[in-house]
Amino acid sequence: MPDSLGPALADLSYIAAGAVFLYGAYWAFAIRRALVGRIYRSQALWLGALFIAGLIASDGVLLPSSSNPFVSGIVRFLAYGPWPILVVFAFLDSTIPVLRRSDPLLRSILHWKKLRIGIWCVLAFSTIFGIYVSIYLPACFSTANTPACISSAMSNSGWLGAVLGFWGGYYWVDVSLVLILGAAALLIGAGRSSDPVLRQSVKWLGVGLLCVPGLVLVSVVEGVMGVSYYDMIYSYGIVPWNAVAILLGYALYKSARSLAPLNRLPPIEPEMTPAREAAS
Amino acid sequence: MALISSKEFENETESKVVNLQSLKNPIVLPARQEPLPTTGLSALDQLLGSSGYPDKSVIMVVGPPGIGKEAIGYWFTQSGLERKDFCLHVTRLPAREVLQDVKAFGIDFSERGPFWFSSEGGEVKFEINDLSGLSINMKEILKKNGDRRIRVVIDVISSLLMLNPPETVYKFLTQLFTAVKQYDAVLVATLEEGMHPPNVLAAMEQLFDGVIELRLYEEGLRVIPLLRIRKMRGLPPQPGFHKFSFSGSGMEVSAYAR
Repeated sequence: MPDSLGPALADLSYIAAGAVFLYGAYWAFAIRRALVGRIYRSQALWLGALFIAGLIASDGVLLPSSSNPFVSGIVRFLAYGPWPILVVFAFLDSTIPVLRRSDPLLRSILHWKKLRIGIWCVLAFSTIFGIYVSIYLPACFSTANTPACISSAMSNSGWLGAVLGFWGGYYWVDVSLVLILGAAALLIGAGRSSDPVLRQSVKWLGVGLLCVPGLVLVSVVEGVMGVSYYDMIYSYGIVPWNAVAILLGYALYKSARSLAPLNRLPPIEPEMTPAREAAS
Repeated sequence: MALISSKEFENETESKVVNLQSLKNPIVLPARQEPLPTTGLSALDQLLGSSGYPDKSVIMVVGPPGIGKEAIGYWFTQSGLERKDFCLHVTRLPAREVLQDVKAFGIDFSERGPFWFSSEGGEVKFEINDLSGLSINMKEILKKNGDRRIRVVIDVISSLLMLNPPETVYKFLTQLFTAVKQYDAVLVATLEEGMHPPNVLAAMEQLFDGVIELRLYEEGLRVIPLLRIRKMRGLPPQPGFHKFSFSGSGMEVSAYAR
């Protein structure tokens, strides 16, 4: 195959993934506009934000670099940082109250009101640390093993650095915390919900959540196979990753479409005259 | 999960005695100048022939969660409070959660609010699995305020239908509606779309004098919330759809043409 095929396929996969996330975001925001209930609008808003996060996470590597170290750090943070997990959690946090309300007995889900505060604190810490790492340890982002690089760099700056390095480098700890607790809460909430449309939405969300470990798996397998950093970002290496990202985007799109039941208008032309005129 | 059988409900309703002496609401003498109660939303009043809901009627507002069914109830209550009607709000949610929702529509119940029948923070505690208690308490409250114009908003029917056999809920509603119509009262009930089988929904509609349907429709790439008056006592059938939206000052409605 010619050498130009790899980058062309990579570009195509970036465009396809971006398009799926953009289309999903459009529907989430369109449904939000049509709803008026406070918690339902919030859920649709954060689902829309989740699509935007997916878009940046999948296409973020294409963001232009800057000679200004601060701007460059922010761009790196957007492209590689742990911030999408914040959006994932904000979405879960907005979905749990909706699930609780759809339970006829209005039961609390995993004492969510208290649990959410703890998780937000953990995530806030990770995010601040993520910004720090993005700005001060840029070299780690161009290696094949970013977490190990961060951990090693931080351990040279005393015990606090070592702890922070471990925590920040292995932020999968809080990613796992969010995903496991979030999935458990969604499962419990969906099980208690009496709204089949909402349950459908949560089912697709579950499919989407399953794709997240899939993304990690693709990166790990390619790392083990010795795929170069360049190929993993700009050539064949990114295609499987973007394929899973497209699957994730599609699952989220189906979830967005199930936020509320959407009906089709009957084929008969509706009456144009205001009802009060007909009444009089 | 059936929490109470039809027969149990009937027996308990007849025998149970509830002490409502602790009810906090002051009983004010009626102000009955207005012939008919309005909906609290001028656009909806116009759709219903300028005068709002029919007198002594029970109205069902059906639609998916979050579309604004409750808002129609909040404006109805707000309008009643302005006219010094007795307003009863029966909700399965804690009162403070409803107050938060209400604020989003620019309505403030903090100075003068309805009589709350809620799971937390209300004048009377609402127990979802005590249908007979709910029935007796509501009838007592109606009786105590029988010399006033009464407005009732109730958002618990979907939950009741989930937890009880439909025939028990029909019986409960039939008795309640009979009681409502003995007084100068209008009841607005909300029902969730998509949570009940079509036959249950159709049977429920038969119990009500009016049915207002709120739905989301998909047209190309647009999502449009539309309102339809499925039936209303005293009005001819109205097949037309109307676009609607809520703002801080109420509801805007316009005829929908494709």
